[in-house]
Amino acid sequence: MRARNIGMYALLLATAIGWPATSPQAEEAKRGGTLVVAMDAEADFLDNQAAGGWITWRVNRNMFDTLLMEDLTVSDVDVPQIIPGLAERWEVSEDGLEYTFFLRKGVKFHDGTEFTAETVEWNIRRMWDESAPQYSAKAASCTGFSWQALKEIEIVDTYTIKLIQERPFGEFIGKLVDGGCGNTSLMSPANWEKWGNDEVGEHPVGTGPFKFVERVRGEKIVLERFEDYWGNKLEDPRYKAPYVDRIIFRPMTDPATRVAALQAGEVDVVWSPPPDSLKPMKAAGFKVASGPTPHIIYMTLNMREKCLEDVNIRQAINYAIDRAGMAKTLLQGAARPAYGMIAPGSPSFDPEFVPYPYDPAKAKQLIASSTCPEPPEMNLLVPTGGSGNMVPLPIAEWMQRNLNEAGFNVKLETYEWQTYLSFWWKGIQEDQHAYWMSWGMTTPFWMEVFAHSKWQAPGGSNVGWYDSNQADALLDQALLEMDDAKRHELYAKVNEIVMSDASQVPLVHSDTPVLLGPNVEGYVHAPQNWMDFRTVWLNN
Amino acid sequence: MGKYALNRLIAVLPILFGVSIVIFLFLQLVPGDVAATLLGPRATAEKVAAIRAELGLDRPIHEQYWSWLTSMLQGDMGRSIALQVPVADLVLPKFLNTLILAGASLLIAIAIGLPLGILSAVRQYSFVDRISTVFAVIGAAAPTFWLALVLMYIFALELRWFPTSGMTSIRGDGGPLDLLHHLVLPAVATAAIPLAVITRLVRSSMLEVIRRDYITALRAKGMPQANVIYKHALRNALPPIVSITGLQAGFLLGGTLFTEVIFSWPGIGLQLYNAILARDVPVVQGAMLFIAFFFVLLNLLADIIVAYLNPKLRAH
Repeated sequence: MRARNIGMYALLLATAIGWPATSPQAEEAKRGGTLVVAMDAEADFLDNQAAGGWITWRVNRNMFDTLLMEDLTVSDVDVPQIIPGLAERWEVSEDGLEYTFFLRKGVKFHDGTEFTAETVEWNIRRMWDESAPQYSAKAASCTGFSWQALKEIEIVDTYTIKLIQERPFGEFIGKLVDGGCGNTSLMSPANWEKWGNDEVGEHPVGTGPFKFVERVRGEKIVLERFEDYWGNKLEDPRYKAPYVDRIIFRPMTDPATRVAALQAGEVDVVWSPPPDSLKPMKAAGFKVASGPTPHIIYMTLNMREKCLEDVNIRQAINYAIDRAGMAKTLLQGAARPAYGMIAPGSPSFDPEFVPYPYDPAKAKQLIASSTCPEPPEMNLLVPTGGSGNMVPLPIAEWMQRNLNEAGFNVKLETYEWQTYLSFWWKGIQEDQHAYWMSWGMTTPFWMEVFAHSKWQAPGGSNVGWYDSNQADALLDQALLEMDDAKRHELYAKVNEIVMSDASQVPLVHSDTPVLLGPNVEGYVHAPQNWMDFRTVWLNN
Repeated sequence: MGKYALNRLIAVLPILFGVSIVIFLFLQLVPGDVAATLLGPRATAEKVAAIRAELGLDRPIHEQYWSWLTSMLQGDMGRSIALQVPVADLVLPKFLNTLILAGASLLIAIAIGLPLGILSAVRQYSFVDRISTVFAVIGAAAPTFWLALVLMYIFALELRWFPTSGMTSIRGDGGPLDLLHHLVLPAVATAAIPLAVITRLVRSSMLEVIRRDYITALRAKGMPQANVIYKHALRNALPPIVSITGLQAGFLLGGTLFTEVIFSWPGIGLQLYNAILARDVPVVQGAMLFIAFFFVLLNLLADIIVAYLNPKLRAH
C-alpha cells in the first residue's frame, strides 16, 4: 500500500513542478566538479570480490579493474565489447585449456604499490584457494562460477600469468568481467595485509580511475579521481581519465525523495526512479537515460507440483500474461516485454523469439485440455522491493489479474527482499507454486545458472526443480564449446527448450532508466546493469 | 527526593532486562535465514552451516541470549552481519543524529504547544481555541510521511527555502548553520504529532485547573490574570503535561523513522529500517535496545520532574 502511495506522490510531485526546460548546446567537455548520485539503497561493504548486488558493483567498479573489462563508453552496441583491462592482451590455447594474460606495466594501486603477476595470483587465490591465508568464503561463493574450471595458476614472469583449466570453459572470459555478487577485479594485497578480510571492505584500494576517500554509513560514499590511473597515459578514449573530480554516492531509499532532490539540484543522477516519474521529468527538462539491459524479471514454476507437472498448464500461464501491456501501461515504457529467458544485451538474445504471445483464449483452451481443468489455488511468492525489482507488487498484481481472467486462482504471498531471498535460495517449497526473481547476465552462461539440473537448489539457482536431459546435454556442450558463435547458438537453443517446456514465466526486461540533471553531459547507457562514469561531465 | 529517584532508578533495571529479552526473542521469530542470505546463490548446506556456526546461530537460544547480553553489558554491541563493522560504530553516531532531530522536534512541540494550549484554555471556544483545535486534529491525524512530502513539495521545491534532504549540504563543508537549514523541515514534520498531543493536553489540563475553587478565589481577591494563570494554575497543571512530554520524547526517538526515510536524515530510525531490510540482526538488536534504554531513561527523568513538581507523589 505504502509503495503505491509513494509512487502516486512521486507523480504528484513530478507533474506539479514547472522546471524551466533547458537543453544545453553541445559543448567541449569540461573537467572538474562533483557528481552526486542518488542510490536507491545503501551499498554493501566495499569488498569488490565478496560484496553482493548490482548497486555495490556500480560503486566498486569505479575503484577496481579486472584483467579484461567491458567497454561501457558506447551505447550503440547490442552487447558490450570485452576489451583489455589490467591485461593488455590475452591468448587462449587451441584446446581452450590455457589462458595467458600479458599484464600492463607501470600500473599502480591507489596505495602506491605496484601491480604484477603476483598480485593477480594472490587475488585469484583469495577467491579460489581454500588453503590461502587471504581466502574469503564469501568471495569464493560470489565468484565461484568464474573459477569453476581453474586447475592451476602459473606465473610466467613479472608481467605474464597463465591460468590452466582442467576442462574448456567457453564463457570463462564472459564470467571474468561479470559483476553482481562479487567480481573478479583485483585489490591491493598490501592493503589487505593491513586490514584483513573483515575490514578490507571499509578501506577499498584498487587500480581504478577513482579512489576511495570516505564513507559515512547512511549518508555518502565519496570517491576522488585517481591522478596516477594507468588509463591516463593512454590515448585510447575507452580508458580516458574521468572528467569529474569527485563522485558522491548518496543512499536515498525513498523514490519520491530521490526525484525531489534532483529537482532541487541537490543530486545529479537518480537510480531507479519511479517509472511514472519519467515522462513528467523529461517534459520538465530533465534527461532520461535508458535502453536495453541484460535484465529479466521472471517467475519460476514448481515442476514438482501436481498441476504444474502438466506442460499444458505451464504453457497456459505463459499465454495468459499480457506482457506488452505490463511494460507499456503499468511500467510506462521503462521496461520491455520478456518472451524468453535471454535478455537484450546478451549475444544469444533474439528479439524475434516470441513463443507465447498474449492469448487468453488459448490459455483457457490449454487449461481445459490439461490434466488439471480446474486449477486449485496457486501460491506465488513475490518480494516487496529490492535490487532491480522495479515495482514488484503492481507487476505481480497485473500478472495475478491476467491469470485469474484465464481461469487460474492465484494468491500472492509477499515478503521483504532479504527475507524473500533466503526462501528463494532454498528452492520452491511443496505447497508453493512459483517464485519471483529479477536477475540476468550479459554472458549466456546465465542459462546454465537457472536451467541446469545440477544447479537445483539449495546450492544452486534452479529453484523450480527443472530437470531436462535435453537442456542439460546442450548446456554441457555449450560449457565446453570454445567457438563463440556456436556456443551462443547452443545457449539460444536451450532458451527454446526451456520455453517450450514453459518451466519459467519471463515477464519484463527493465530498461534500467536513470534520471539525470540538465547539467549532466556525456552519460552513456550501455547495455549493462552498471555504468561507466568516466564519460560524464558537468555543464555548469 | 533523592530516595524517590533512587527507587525509580532501581525499578528501571527489571524493565530494561525484560525489554532485552523481548527484543532478542522477537527477532528469532522473523522468517528467513541470515546465513543463506549472506552467502548468496552458491550457498551449499555445508557453507550455510559453517556461517551459522561462525555467527553462533547454531547454539541453543538461551546461550545465544546470554552471550549477547553479557557482551552488551561490557559495551560490545557485536558486529553488523551485512555491513561488517562494529554495531557501536554504526549505532552511536546515528543515534546522535536522531537526538538532534528529536530534540529539535520536541523543542518546537513544547515552544508552540505549551503557550497555544494555555491560550486555548484561557480563551475557551474563542477563535484561537477553534483554530488550534483544528490544527491539532490535523497534526495528530496526518500521516508523518505524507506531511513530510507536502512540506518538502512546498518549502523545498516550490519556495526553495530549504533543502529536500540530507543532514548537511553534500557539496559544501557543512557547519552549524547548514545543519540548521537542513533540520527545519524534518523537525517540523516530526513535531506535528507531539505538538498536537501537547497542545490538547495542556488545554484540557489547564481547563481542569482553572475551574477549581482556589483559582476562582484568587481571581475574586483581584489577583492579576497573568499571575493566576502562570504562577498558580500552570504549576498545578504541569505534572500530567511533563509526564506526557516525557512519553512523547521517548516516542520521538523511534517516531522519527518516517521523516528520516523521506528526508534521508541519517538517523537511527533509518539505520534500523535498513538493518531490518537487510536482516542484520545484531544492528537491529543494538539499535532497538539503545532506543528502549533512552525511552526508559527519558520517562524516568519525567517521573522525577513530576515528583519534584508534585510533593504528594513523593510522599506515596
